Amino acid sequence: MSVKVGAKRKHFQIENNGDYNEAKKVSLFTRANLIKCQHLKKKRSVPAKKTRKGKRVVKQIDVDQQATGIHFQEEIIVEILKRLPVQSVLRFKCASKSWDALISDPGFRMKHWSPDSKSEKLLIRQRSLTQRDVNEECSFFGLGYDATSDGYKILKLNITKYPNQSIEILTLKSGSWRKICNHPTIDFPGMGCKLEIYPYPNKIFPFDPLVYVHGAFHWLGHLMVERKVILVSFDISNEVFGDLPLLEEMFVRVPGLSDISISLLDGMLCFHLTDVPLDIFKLWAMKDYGVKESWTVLFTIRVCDLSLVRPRYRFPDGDLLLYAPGELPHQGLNPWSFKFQTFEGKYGCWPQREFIEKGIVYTESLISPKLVI
Amino acid sequence: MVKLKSNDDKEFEVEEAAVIQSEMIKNMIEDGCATSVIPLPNIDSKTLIKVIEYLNKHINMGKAAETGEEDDLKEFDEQFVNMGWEELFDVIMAANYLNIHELMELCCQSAADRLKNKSVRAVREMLKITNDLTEEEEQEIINDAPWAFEGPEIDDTVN
Repeated sequence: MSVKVGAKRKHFQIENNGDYNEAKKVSLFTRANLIKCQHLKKKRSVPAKKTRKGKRVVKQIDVDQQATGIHFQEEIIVEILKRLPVQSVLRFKCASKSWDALISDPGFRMKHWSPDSKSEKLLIRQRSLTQRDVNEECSFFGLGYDATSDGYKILKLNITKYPNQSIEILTLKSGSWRKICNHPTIDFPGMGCKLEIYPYPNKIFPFDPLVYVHGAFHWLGHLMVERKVILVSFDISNEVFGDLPLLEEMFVRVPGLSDISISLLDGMLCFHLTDVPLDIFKLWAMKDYGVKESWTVLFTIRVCDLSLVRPRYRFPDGDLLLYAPGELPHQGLNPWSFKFQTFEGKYGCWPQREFIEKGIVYTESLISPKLVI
Repeated sequence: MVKLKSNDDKEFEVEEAAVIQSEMIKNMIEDGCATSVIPLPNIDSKTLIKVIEYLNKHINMGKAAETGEEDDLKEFDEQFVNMGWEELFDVIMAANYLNIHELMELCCQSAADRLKNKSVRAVREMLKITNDLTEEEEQEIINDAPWAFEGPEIDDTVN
């Protein structure tokens, strides 16, 4: 009588006498013999060419068993390769034909591309801007990979010419911008009509990038009539707008003197509020995407001389790298005097340089835009 | 207690609570297939001793968080993977065979850390890969991403 086990993983036939897992044993032995064989060859210091010849003979003896042996090994190789940086993985394509094929395989590319906090890196961009550039450059951008169409898309919120603002999308494969609408709309209870959602005005940080997470771009919008803040989402695959729940306590106490924004930290969508009159910076993270109850306060900081703070990066130990302008707006804001500072102060103030613009968190990917155009 | 037998015919007694971290053995026990000694024809005694050491230490993972022994466990894990390359690979193959998820994660991460900066030649030797690419094919791969083959960190040693 035989019993089937290993439901989640592999199905083995188990015999009552304990002689189980026959198929796998064979494949392992084949592999073990193969390695032994290679070791022997090496010890005898046979030239490389002959070793290869010898191995081909082994392959011919039993192609089926050999194939299972390689498969088994591949499972482990994938487990290791997916933990390597992109640079190493691309280099190791040169190891052999099968490694090249394995690493180039779309399935592996997707496996490797699984953004988590471990793979996030911080890039500090240094750039010299003039006031003139700022006035001309009034769009928010976001970049995301759409697994459905296997391509990159860039979303642009053009806020340059009020009220002729628009939302446009660029699919890298098509190479041209396509207008989606002027503004997304929302059904508003009690109003009996749809209301337009405008991008939440933010004069201090005109370049906050859109937050891309969970297959959608996100930004803050508001309704002109109600002064209600809305967390807008735009699905990258089916290009549909939506909105995510916020908490009552997140709404700005004193509009104009306070600041709200969103960002991505540790793979979680975060909402932050800087209450300037109270000198308090508060950060919530949405632990389960889309679930209102999962909003959790991660940090409450008395900001003192730091107003209008943006979190930029969360260190592996949980500490937060903040980015903020040096002076309060009403003291005459110099837009270039931004500085980095950590929450717990372990890293102190980061070296201040004249033209540090901002820090960007990025994740490496094997899916090169070149490959999917 | 569960009895395990290595491929060099040595028997080891392990507490059930420890051994069921192996999905494979857990399934066998649940299906009533582990009444006598469980032979492990792919694992030698040296490797099996390492695996059992790990299982015994991680026996109550959940409790470690409550009693504040997390750091202790972290230190153990760091020490545990501090072994030779061949030995590490033996443990990976055993962990994969026995389906011990956490051990697989730990050892594969260590393997990845060691391979990260290795040259192509070093990787071939460490993983016993026979190069069957022609020079032209190799050059083509290099041309696709030349930056991946450059840099002072690339290490040609095998260990």
